[in-house]
Amino acid sequence: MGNGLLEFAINALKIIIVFVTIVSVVPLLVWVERRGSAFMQNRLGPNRVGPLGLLQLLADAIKFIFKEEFIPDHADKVLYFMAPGLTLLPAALTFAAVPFSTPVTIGGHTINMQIADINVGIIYIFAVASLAVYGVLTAGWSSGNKYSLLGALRACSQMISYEIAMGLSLIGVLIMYQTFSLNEMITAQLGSFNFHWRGLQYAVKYLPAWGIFYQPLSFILFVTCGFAETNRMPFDLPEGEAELVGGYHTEYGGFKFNMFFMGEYGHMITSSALITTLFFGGYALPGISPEQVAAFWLDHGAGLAQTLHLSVTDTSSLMTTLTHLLVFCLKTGFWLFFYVWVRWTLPRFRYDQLMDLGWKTLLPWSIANLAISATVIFFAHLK
Amino acid sequence: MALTSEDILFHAFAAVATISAILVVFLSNPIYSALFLALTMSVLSIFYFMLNAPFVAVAQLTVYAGAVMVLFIMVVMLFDLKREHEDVLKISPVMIAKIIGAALLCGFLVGVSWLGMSANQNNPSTVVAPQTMAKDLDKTKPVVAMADKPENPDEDLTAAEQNNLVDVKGAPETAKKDVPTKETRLSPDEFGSTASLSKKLFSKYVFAFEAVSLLLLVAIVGAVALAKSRGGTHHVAR
Amino acid sequence: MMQQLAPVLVLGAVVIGFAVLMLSLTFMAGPKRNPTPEKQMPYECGVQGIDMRTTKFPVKFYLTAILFILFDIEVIFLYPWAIVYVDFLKRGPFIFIEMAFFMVFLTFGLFYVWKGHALDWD
Repeated sequence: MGNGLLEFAINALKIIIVFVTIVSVVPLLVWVERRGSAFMQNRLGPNRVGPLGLLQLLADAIKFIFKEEFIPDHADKVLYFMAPGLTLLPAALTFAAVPFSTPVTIGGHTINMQIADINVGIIYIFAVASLAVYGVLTAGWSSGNKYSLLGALRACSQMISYEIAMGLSLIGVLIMYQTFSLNEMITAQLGSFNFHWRGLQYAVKYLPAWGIFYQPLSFILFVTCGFAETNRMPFDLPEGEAELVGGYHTEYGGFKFNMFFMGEYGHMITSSALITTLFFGGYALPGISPEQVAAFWLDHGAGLAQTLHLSVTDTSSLMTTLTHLLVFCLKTGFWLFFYVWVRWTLPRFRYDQLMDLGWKTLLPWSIANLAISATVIFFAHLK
Repeated sequence: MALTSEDILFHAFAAVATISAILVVFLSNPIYSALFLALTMSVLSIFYFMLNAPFVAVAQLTVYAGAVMVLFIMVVMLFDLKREHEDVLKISPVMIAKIIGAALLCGFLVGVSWLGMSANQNNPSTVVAPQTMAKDLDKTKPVVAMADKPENPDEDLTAAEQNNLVDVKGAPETAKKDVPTKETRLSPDEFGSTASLSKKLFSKYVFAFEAVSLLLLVAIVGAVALAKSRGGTHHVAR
Repeated sequence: MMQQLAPVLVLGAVVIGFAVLMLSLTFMAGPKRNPTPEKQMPYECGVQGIDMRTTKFPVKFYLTAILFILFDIEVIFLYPWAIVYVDFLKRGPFIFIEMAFFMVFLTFGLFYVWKGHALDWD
């Protein structure tokens, strides 16, 4: 984390800022969900507290803090308190490998806009995401309620079934990019759509080299599995209120209940960020490379540099980073809205339909995608 | 020897791993045991990361901590195992005998490995420099693999031996097969990278790789067979 | 490698600290604990709970978990293959053939599980 104390402090501060941002984006997401669902259902959502109801979630969070702590009779006290934290931990750790902008260089210090540039980035994310089942299982078990336990087991089975299809759908993408590192994947998606066929290079100029154009089936499978992994509609039977009341978080109240939802929305954020990074070019603009953006800001940033009292190169670097951060937030924000949109559009799957989809539809299709991709690339590289 | 931050982290995590492993055995609540075992597996993956093996670390986390331990915990929850009724750690002659036996075994293993390692260091001629020509190999001395592969493989050879580096073509037939030639030697950046792991896995160890797939197939068939025999699969004639 | 791992550990510490902070805040700010029998009962839509702790467990959860382990190992083997595939194709079709064998064996395993009714009614 940097050589000197200053660099260590900057990196630690960056980590805290990113974490606080995620924690603050969650209430915003819930607001989007509640207002968005309201408009989709032709009613008004929360609009009393604050402008457009934006402070509703803050009020809810404060209310949660003041609720009474109760522990059910048969609960396992230690695990009961640990479970929400255990849900939050993987959700936050998965976001560590996601790059949300280009590195910024100010005064000689380069700060990566990424918590940790792990060279096995994408499989690290999957590995930590597979630890999310522990929070669910611990919550269900420690509630001392057999319906919670049943809900937790069903949620766990659902999550692990879709993890296989998710990993397999990713293999096609990995064959294209030949790297695990998310930064290198974004670099590979710059430029226009091109491919290699039997010794000749073909290019389509007006199409960006985004992952979705190379692996559309992989994209569909990945998004579907992402919905199932985060227990979102139409896969949210483990939390479905008609079935098991609250599933594994029935016996939770107060801020612990809130932490479960922070974990779920955290997974949603990471999932949307992954979709943009793998299939939509990440923080890069379509057709414009980060170097071109930096050059643009070098040319036009003189006035801004004077107001900020920084050198022109520093300002250009800062503005490039902010531009790319904006692009990243827009793309990820669209996919987050897509999550909300699908939730309030599709009805919920029954549990056996859900498991059938995971094992008997998505898994064979992922294997087919892998086989087709490998065969096509094999023929493309024949001389 | 200065204590780097990496040393401190290693020792901290080693303490966590050891204590949680001991707790796995000594706690009477089976869920706690399983959860501490999952913690031990996760800390092991951190060790793999520190040892420059990121892919193995991720594989450990995905397979062990994310799949095998989940199975254990699910089974413990489904069986609704009760706490052990008697203390696991009670002082009795039998328990004392067990502890002494375990301590003797540990001491024996530590002693043997220490003797082996000090034999390596005291008698360097038993370590065969991989570039030695076959006719120079002393057949009576045991061929011991080098314990620590240095970042630059040429560092530990003397100047004379460095001049004797052989190319692939020059090596005689009876030289050790695993001679790292100039082509296959890794640069320090590549050490531990997944690409270099794949290079070995899919060329030299391809038989093991295919054998693993057959092994997994056997495990799949076995799992289904076991479940069927207990009446698990709901086979209804349609 | 520590350079990549250290920020993750710091983030883990921050998350744990946040969780502990929030729980202690709730502990201090909330009303005094007042356990009544109605609040302590496990929630079952308001009716008295029938204690069925000795229900027969469904084996299908166990089967799903075991099959998950096996297919997860398969996916783990596919990851390093995917990143060197294009590179190795220059040396010939061997890399394609060996993965074809691997996938054929495991697809047969999936087929067997499917036809063996191990994935039904889950």
